[in-house]
Amino acid sequence: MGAPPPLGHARLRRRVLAVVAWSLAALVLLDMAVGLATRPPADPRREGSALQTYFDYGTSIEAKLRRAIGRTPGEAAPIISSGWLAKECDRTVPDHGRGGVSVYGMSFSNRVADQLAAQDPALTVDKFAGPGAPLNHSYACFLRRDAAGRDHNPVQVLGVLASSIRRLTTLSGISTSFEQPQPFTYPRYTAGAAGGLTAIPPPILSEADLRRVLATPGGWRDYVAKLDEHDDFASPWLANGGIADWSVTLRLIRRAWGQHYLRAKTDAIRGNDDFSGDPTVVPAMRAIMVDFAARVRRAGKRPVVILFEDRGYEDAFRRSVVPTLVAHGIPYVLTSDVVQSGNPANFMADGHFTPAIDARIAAAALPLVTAAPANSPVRH
Amino acid sequence: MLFNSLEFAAYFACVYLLYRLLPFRWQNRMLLLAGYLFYGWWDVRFLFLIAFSTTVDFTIGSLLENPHMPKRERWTASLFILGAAILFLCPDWPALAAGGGLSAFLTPQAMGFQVLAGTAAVVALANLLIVRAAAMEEDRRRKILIVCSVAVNLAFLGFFKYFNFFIDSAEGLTRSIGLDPETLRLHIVLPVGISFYTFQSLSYTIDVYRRRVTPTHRFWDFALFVAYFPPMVAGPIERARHLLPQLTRPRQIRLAQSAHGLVLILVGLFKKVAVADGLAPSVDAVFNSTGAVSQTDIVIGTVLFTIQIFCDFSGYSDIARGVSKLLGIDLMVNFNLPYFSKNPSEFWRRWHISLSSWLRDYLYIALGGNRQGKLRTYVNLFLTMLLGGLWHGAAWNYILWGAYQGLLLCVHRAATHGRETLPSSREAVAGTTDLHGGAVAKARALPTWLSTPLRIGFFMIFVCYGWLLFRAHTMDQIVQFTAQLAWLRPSGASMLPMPTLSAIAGTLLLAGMQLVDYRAGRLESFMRWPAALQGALYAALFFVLIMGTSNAPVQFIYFQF
Repeated sequence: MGAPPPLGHARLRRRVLAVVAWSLAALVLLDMAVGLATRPPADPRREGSALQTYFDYGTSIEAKLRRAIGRTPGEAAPIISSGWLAKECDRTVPDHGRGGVSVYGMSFSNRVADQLAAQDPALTVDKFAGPGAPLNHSYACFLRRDAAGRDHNPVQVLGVLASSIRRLTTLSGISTSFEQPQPFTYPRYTAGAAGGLTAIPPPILSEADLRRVLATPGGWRDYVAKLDEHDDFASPWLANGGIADWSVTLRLIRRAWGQHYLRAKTDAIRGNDDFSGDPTVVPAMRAIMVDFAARVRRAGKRPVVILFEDRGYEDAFRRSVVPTLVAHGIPYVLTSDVVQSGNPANFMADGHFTPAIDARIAAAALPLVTAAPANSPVRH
Repeated sequence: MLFNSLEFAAYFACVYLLYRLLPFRWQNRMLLLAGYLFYGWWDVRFLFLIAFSTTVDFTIGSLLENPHMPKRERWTASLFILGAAILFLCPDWPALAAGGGLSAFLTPQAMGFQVLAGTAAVVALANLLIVRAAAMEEDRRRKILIVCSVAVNLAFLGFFKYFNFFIDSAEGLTRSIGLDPETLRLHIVLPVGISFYTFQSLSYTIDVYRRRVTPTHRFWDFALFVAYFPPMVAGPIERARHLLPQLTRPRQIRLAQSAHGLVLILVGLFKKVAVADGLAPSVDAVFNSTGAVSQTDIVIGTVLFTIQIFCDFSGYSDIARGVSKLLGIDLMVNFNLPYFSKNPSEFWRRWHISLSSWLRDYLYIALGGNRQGKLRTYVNLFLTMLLGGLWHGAAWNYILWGAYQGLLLCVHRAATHGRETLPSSREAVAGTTDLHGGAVAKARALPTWLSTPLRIGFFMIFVCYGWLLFRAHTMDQIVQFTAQLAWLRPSGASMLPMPTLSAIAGTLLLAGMQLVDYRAGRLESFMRWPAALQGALYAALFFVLIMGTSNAPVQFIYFQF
C-alpha cells in the first residue's frame, strides 16, 4: 500500500532524480516567493505585518539593526532608542514631595506603576524602564540617579521580572532577543564572597555608539567579539550578518538554532526552577536587592521590591530571593501571592498580566508604598 | 533519543553507513547493538528488562516447539541474561551520565548485585525445570509454558507501570489497615515504551503456542526482533510472523523502498515537528491551566489535541517505517486515515492498527470473541477496550477512555446488528485494510457524497470527546470540562494562545494530503503524482517543517506508554 507503481530500475532512478530536482527547484521558488512577499517595510519606523515579522525573525541581528537604525536618529525605529541608561535614567523629574514614587523596572512594573497612580491620586509615579529590562539594568539606572542626586522621591520601587533574570548574565538586550533585538546595554554584576558587587561595563553605552559601531567597517564584528567575552548569551552566529540573510529557508534554520540555543541557556540558568543553574545569578540578585535597599534607606527613603513571576515562573523567586528580603526586612510583593502564573487566563496575548491582575498587584503594593515611617521593615 | 533530534540523525547516519558496509549476519549483530544503544540512551538499566523479556520469551518459544532445548541455545540464553545483569545493573550508569568519571561508574551497585544474584538463581532453577519439563505431557507443558510467558511479561509491565497506580487507588484501603501508602509507593521511573516491546515479545510466544509461528532457533535473531530500534518505543507493535522472517534472511535495499522510506521520514517529521509540536502550547494552555477555562477554549483545545495526537503518534510511526525501509525492512501500517472513520468500529480499523489488531488477536479472541452469544460478545468488546485503555497508562482517565471506546463499539454493534468487528490481524499486518470500511450499513436516505461527510463529521464529535478524556489530567477536570461542554457550568473568557504558523499551515497541508489519499483510496497516493507536482509537495512539506523547527520540542506522547 502506498508504494509507487513498479518501474524498471533505470526508469525508477530517472524518476527519483526528477522528483529530487523538482523538489529543489520548487524549494528555491518557494523561498524566493515568500522572501519577496514578506519583505519588511523599507521605512524602519513602520511596523511590518505579522507575516513579515515572522519570516524576519531569523535575519541576523546585524542586518535587523542596520535596517532599524535608519540614516538619522529621526528615521530610526523606536526600539533603537529605548532603554539606554543615559537616555532613560539621566532625565530630571520635578520634585513631587511626599507623594513621589520612583519605579525602576520594565513594562510589567510600568503597568503596575500606572495602577498605583490610579488607585491613589496622591501618588505621583516616575517610571524608569527598558524593554524587558533585567535587574542589572534597573539597579544601574537607580545607581546613576542616586549618584547624581537626581531622585528626590521618598519611595523607591524595584521591579524584577522572572523571565528577565537570565539577562543578569548579559550586557545587552540583543543577546536574549535576537528575533526582535533590543540594542540597549547595561552592566553585568557579579557578587563577591562578602556580598560586594563588581560591575562589568558594556562595550557601548548609547544609540550614538551603536550608530558608530554599525558605520565603522568591522565595527560590528568587534563589538560582538567584545560582548562575547562577558555576555553568556552572545552568539556571533546569531549576531553577524551574512549569506543566510538572503534566504528565507536559511533564516528559518537560523531562527530554529537560535531558539534552541536560547532555550538551552535559559534552562541551564533556571536550574530547579529557582535560578540555581548558574551559581552567579542568585548571589548577584540577592546582593543587588540588599544594596539597593541599603542605599535607599541611607537616604531616608523607603525601598519596595515587586517580584513579577510571569508565565512559566511560578514561585521561582520564593526560594531564591524571598528569604533574603525577609532577612533584611525589605518590603516586597511576590506576584504569586496575588495571582497564579500557571493560569493562562491571567495573561494577555503579549505575555503581560491583564489590567485586572495589574490592579490587584498594585493594590497589594499600595500599603507598602504608602506605609510610614519610611524605614519600617514590612512584609506583605 | 528522539527521532526529531540531531543526536538521532548522527546515530542513524552511523548505523546506516555500517549497515551498507557489513555482510548480513554482521548487519544483524550491529542492529542489535544499535537497538540497545538507542534504548539505553534513556536509561541503560532498563535494558535489563528487555534482556529478561528476550531470554524468557526465546526460551519459552523454543520449549513450546521442542521440550529438549539444545544445550547451545540454553547456554546462550543463560549467559546473555547473566551478562545483561552484570553490564546493565552492576556499574553506576547514572553517575557516568552525570559526568562522574570512570571510578564513579565502576562503583558497584548494591541493587545490581542483588538482581544479579536473583537472576543467577532464576537461571539455575529454570535450567533444572527445563530438564524436568521435558518429561511432562505435551499439552500440559505447553500450557504451563505459555502461562509463564504471559505471567512474566505482564508482571514486569504491571510492576513498573501499574504498581504505584494501584497503591494510590487503594490508598483508603491501605490506610485502613495501618499502612502508609507513601512507604509502599515505588520511586521508579517508567521505562520508555515498555508496553510496546512487552506486547511485541509476548505476541511471539502466544503465536508459537497457537502454532502460527515457527520459533526461531537463533537467539540473536530473536533478540533483534525484540530490540529492533525503529518500532521499539512507540510501535508499530510488530508480529513475529511479519518482522522475524525479514530479520532472519539477507535483505536487499531497493531504490523504490528507500525513496518511499525517505518520503515517510519527511512526512513523519513534518507531522511531528511542524504540526504536533506547534499545537502543543495551545493544547497545554487549556489542559494545564490552573484556572477557569472557557467553553470555547475547551472545544478548540480538544480539537487541537485531536490533531496533535494524530500527528505526534502517526508521525512517529511514519518515521519508524521510513527508517526501517531504508534498512530494507518493512513495518506494518499503523494509521490509515483514522479521522475519516464513520463509526467506532471503522475507527479502530484505522487508528493504532497494530494495537487494535493485537487486542483482537490476543485478548478479544482469547476471551471468546463473538462465539459465546450476544451478551458475552458485548462484555468481551467492552473488556477488551477497557484493558486497551489501561494499556495506555496507569490513570483513571485512560480507563475511562477505554470504557468509553468499549461503550461506543457496543452501541455501534447493537445498532448494526453485529456486522462489524475489530480489524483482522491479516489486514493489519499486511497493511491492507479497506480504506472505505467493511460491511458498513449504508445510510439509504441520502446520497453517498452527502451522507459520508455527514457521518464522518458526526462521528468526529465522539472521537474528539474521547481525546478530551484521554488528555485530561484528573477526573475533576473531566467532570468540569464535560459540565462546561454541556452548558452546566458558567464559562470564562477565552485565553487560548494561537498555534504557531507552522502548525496552522501544516494542518491545512496535511488535511489536503489526507483528503487526497481518502479520495484515491490509498495511503501516500501523492507518490504516484507527476514528478513536478510531487516535487512541489515535498518542497512545501520541507519548508513548513523548517518553519516548525523553531517550535519547542515535545517528547512523543506515546513514549510514556
